[in-house]
Amino acid sequence: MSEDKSKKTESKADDSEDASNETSEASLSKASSSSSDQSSEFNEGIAEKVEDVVEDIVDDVKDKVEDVKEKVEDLVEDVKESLDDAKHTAESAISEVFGDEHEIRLQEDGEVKGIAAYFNHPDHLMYAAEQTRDSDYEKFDAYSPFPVHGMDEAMGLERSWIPWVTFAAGSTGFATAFGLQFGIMGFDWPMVFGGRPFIAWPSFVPILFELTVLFAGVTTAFVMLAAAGCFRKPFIIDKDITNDQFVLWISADDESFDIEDVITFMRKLNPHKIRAVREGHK
Amino acid sequence: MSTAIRPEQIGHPEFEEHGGPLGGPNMVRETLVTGGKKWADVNNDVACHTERKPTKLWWGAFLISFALANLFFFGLASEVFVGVGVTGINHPVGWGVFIINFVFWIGIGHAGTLISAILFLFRQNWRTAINRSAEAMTVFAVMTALVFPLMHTGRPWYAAYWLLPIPNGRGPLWINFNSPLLWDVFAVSTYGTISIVFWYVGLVPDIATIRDRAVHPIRKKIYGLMSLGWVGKNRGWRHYETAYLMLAGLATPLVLSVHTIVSFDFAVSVIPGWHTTIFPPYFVAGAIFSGFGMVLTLTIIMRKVFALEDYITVNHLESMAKVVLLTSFVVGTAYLTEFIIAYYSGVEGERFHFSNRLFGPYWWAGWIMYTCNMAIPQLLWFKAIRRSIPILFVITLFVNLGMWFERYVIVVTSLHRDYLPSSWGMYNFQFADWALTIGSAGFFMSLFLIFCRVLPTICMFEVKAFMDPDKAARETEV
Repeated sequence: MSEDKSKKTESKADDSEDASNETSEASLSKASSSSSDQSSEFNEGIAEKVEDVVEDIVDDVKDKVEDVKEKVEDLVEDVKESLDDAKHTAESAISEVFGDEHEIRLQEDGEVKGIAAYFNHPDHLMYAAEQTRDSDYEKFDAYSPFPVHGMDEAMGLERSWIPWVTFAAGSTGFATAFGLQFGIMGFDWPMVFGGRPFIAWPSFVPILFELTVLFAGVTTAFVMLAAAGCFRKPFIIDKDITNDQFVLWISADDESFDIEDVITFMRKLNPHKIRAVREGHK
Repeated sequence: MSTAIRPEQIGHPEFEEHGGPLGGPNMVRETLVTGGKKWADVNNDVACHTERKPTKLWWGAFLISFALANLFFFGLASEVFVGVGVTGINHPVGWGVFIINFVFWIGIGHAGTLISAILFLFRQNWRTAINRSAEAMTVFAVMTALVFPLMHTGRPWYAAYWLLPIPNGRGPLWINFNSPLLWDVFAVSTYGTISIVFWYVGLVPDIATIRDRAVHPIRKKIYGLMSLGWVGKNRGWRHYETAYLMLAGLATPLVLSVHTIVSFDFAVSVIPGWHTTIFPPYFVAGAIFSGFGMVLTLTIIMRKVFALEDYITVNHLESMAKVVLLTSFVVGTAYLTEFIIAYYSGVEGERFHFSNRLFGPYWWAGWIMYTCNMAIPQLLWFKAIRRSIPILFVITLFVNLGMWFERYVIVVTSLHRDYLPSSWGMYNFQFADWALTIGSAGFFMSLFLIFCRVLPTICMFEVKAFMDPDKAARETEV
């Protein structure tokens, strides 16, 4: 984008240079033609004098045009230089965000999935998450090598609903063990063991407990992993997240997502790196 | 401020005389991870062992363990093809080597769950360095233990019908839910499953770390599948932490229930030496005692072989030694209580049993048990001994030995002489008994050594969470 813009401004500068040259030459030819009309009606002496004067004037004008031309050329050089500078700044800004291969990347090798801001310290990430929570962005996340305490509040997340799953699964396990033992021992095949009643419920307690724990534990683990986004192909933003990097991520799925706006927003959070991550990046 | 190092000062590098709030000395504990490590160092130090070829030391240890594991398989095969009589089992000692080893290995497992669940609920942060290896130990110990009750049926391919409520064509003739042996099936299989789940849930973020470090595409693929697609986002972490708390809350009563139910196998019968109400707490304390003994044995070797001294520091070992000392006391109290109650009850069979335990034909087993479990751990009262790694290592070996003999005494000494002198007998270890006992240790060690090679032996993300972020963070490039 900005590269095209700079090209356009460059060509505009060239046009204006040509235009200024044309106008100065046109005015010169007009002056010379009017003087030759007069020389045919008056005598030659006067004509020569006039010619001399005109020549002087023409020389002066030519000198002045030369000066102007030089000045214009200098100006053009300056403009070109400053344009180059601007281009470099733009390029470095882009490469900072898009990585070194930005030129290839800009030619679209996958849509932008989101933008990542990198931090070194968990507290810094926490601050960034708080700022994002208070902004318009909804689909954001904080990536860290280990759980950061207080991050749920910083991101504005409510308590996890996992305990309800544990409770429901535990109740199911309890009901299963209850039905199994009372059903079998009491109804399906009642038998007398040691003169005790068919349904000697105290001896059912251990299995009631064990199946409650078994159902609750296994279900909790699987549901948690599914809720945490496991069991599908992961989108790994950066390999250093599992090492020592803390990343604030704003997803491109967000309704108010706009690359430039997000980058501007993230710059205010003072990360040490901002990166746009594309699908299939390495 | 005095310059001489006082005994209580060891392990507290920051020490200030009269610096405390009430005028006493102010002591700051050593950080959990020493050596000025950064977060990136944790990954390098722990994960590197899964990324390089095994050392000769590892191969040596593995080959010995694997040879012993084969001895184990041989013992099991001979027992299946010939019959359970290849072991020394007879009348009256019908529960020999199988139940001794079953109870021993299940007990070993308890320390892993204690460290990962109970110490988690008590917020004992030093557990982070050892919980991974302790949980792995639990999983492999339970796997080893499960072999024994399955195989001691003699016909393990029928065992499913005897052990599980499977609909069948015999009536249906169901299993007996009134039997402690059946409770045991449910308790141990639940314990094994929950231990594996707990262990694996803890592993997922660390396997993701190894996946992200992997260079070889096949390695990346395998660890990628094992990591289940974990990416470390906070919308995942929040569920993860809650689920971990739930699992810890479930595993805590579970671990207490398992050895309680194992002790019911004995306590519900009427054999002198078994028929006591003290058994559940006594077994649970014994399990934790033996488990911590084994954790110490394994971690002392592991920290040396894998150069993890900065993560598993002497302070960690000292904390574990304190747990060993405490549980030794609980077990010792139970031992003495048994004698007192046997005397006080006035029951002839009980009184005879406990004198038989000390002075009967198996007097040596009884004395080994009391010496190793009650007397030797008393050395841990001394701070210098708790912090001396070689002495601690030897003590833990005695603990392992003593706890194996505790089960030997409970099973064999109780059974070989009951109320009727006409039915007394002796139980002698045959070749198959030795093969199963020593072989099971080889089987367990083989699994543990493979674990050390392919999975991170320290829970990296938990260790990182308790490091000082101001010191451990990557330095920002200016």
